[in-house]
Amino acid sequence: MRKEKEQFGFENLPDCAADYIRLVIKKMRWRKKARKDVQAELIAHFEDVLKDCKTIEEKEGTAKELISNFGDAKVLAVLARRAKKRCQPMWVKILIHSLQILGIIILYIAICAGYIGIGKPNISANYVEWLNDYVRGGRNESLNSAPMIKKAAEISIDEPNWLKESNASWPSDFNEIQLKELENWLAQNTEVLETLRNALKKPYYWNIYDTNESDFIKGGPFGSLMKSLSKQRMLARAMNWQVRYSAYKNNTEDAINDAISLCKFGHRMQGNGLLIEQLVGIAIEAVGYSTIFDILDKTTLSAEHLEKMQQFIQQEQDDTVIDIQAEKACLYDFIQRNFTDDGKGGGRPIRQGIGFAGKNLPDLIFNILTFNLPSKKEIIEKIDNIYDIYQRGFDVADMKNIEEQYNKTTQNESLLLQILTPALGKVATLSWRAKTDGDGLIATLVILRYYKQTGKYPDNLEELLNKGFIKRIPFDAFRNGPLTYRKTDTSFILYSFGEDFDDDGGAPSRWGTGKEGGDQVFWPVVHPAKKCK
Amino acid sequence: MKFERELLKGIAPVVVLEILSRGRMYGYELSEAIEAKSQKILTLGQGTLYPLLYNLEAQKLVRGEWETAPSGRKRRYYSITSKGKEKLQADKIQLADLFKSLKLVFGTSLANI
Repeated sequence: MRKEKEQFGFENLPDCAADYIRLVIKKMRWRKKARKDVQAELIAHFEDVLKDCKTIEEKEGTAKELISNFGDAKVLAVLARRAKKRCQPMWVKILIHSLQILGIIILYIAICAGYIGIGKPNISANYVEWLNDYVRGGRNESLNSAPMIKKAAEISIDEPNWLKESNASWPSDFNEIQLKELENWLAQNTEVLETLRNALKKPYYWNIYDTNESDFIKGGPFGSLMKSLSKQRMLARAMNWQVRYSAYKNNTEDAINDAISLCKFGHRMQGNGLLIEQLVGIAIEAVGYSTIFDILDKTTLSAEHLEKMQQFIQQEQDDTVIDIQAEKACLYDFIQRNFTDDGKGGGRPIRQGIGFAGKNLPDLIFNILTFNLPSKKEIIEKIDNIYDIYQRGFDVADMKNIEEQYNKTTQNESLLLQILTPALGKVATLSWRAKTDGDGLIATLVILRYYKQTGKYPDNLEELLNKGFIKRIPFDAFRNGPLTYRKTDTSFILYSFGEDFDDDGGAPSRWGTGKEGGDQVFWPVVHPAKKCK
Repeated sequence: MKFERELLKGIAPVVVLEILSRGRMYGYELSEAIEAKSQKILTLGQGTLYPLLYNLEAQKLVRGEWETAPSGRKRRYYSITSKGKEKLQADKIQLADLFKSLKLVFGTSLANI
């Protein structure tokens, strides 16, 4: 006790005085330095008052009197603390207040972050399993061409690098060595292409998604799919060169059959799988169409061959509808993993689901900070509505209005929907490109056949309809009307307005996306060097 | 003598500044000086004195400095600052006016109580 008293400077004071000062300092609850100063000052004051006291009793009595004069220890402590606080320099006060405000802000942000970071989703549905059932549509597995196509893709031999980088579109563009290498490469893939041909005898294509990992975003179905799709594109390129090589070697029958197989390959992949598969399908089909255009340009086909290809393309054209339900399931899966579940269909966004909470970054932050978060139900309703509008875009051919409608639909939507939905719009555009491309090919095949059978080109497309060559007028989705056809001195010109939605007089471009627009010209065939305006 | 708290509240800082204007002092010395100069009429409670000094220090009217006295004790000496002197001057004028007005109101009766 004595030691403790000495340590803190109380050695000359009676216990009651030391206790009083200790109590004042304890109740002060302020910075250590300030408390130390006040303690030293009070000790000095007591010592000064008690210095003339002769006996311990006298000291005790005087100290008690002084304590009573000082008054309540708590009141003194509070007054001293307030006064000492005022003694701080202005910059210290500002700094302390700023830190306090910052602390409150950080605490608030931490609470908000906790609110969106903590919460348990309820993973009740396995959308991968649902997707497998959906794409299969109750059909027998023996009708599925996908496993054989995948097998062919896996064992296919990659095309030589020089060919990948080449702009050539016909074997006659190659030198002798290159032609030899092309022949070797095609010979190595003989079995692969035969497997593909056999696979395409089966009427359907549906993927079997990996159910080991049910989380779409973690890569479940996507992981293996991306690799497989890349191989399938390679396979399509092999078939594409096989067609061109056969046509070059005047094996017209083989070339036509393989060209039809290539179109079938691309066509089958469209339908109701994931969008990425459907996009690859559209791309493969476009390669098939482009190959047929090149055959028409480089060779002379009989009216029977032209009709055979027309029949096939016409049949395929009539049953192509892109389906985005699988993609919606992917989004549903994302929602079930990134929203809490209140058991009544509601819940709030957590983790990445927060992307649904605002239409831009400031709005998102504001809504998080004000706890103004959308419910799961609300977001699902929005997604259903948006996907319905987008699905109509695949079903109704009016590209100009569809684009305007898409823009209106997503304008005030949350950040995540704004990011996701333009991709759907792009797919719709590509899908309509493919359909217009198909109609362009049908029209070209029919006009060429008409010429073969009548010795002249038709005056207009209605003439083909009236004479029973076609069942409907070939349609330009980018004009919302018929494809543009004109007779020229020696042949004819056939084109679509393209994505700039206007008539550029048949100036070739890639779907009207050139600097000055342009049109997508189907006939005469425009070779790559001239294609882009 | 114990004054009404509110009555003393306005006077106490002026008194402290006035005493310190005559020379620097530490807490105990100051309380003794106030008592002595006022002939024990004016006594600041000890519990009031130190918070008052700290407040004056916060307003930069007085300055406190630790020093070791010849006896070996460490003490905090308070001295009036130039700002404190200005304030004292202004307060004194106000007090003089106050006394003058009180005298007018109470007349001689104030002195006879």
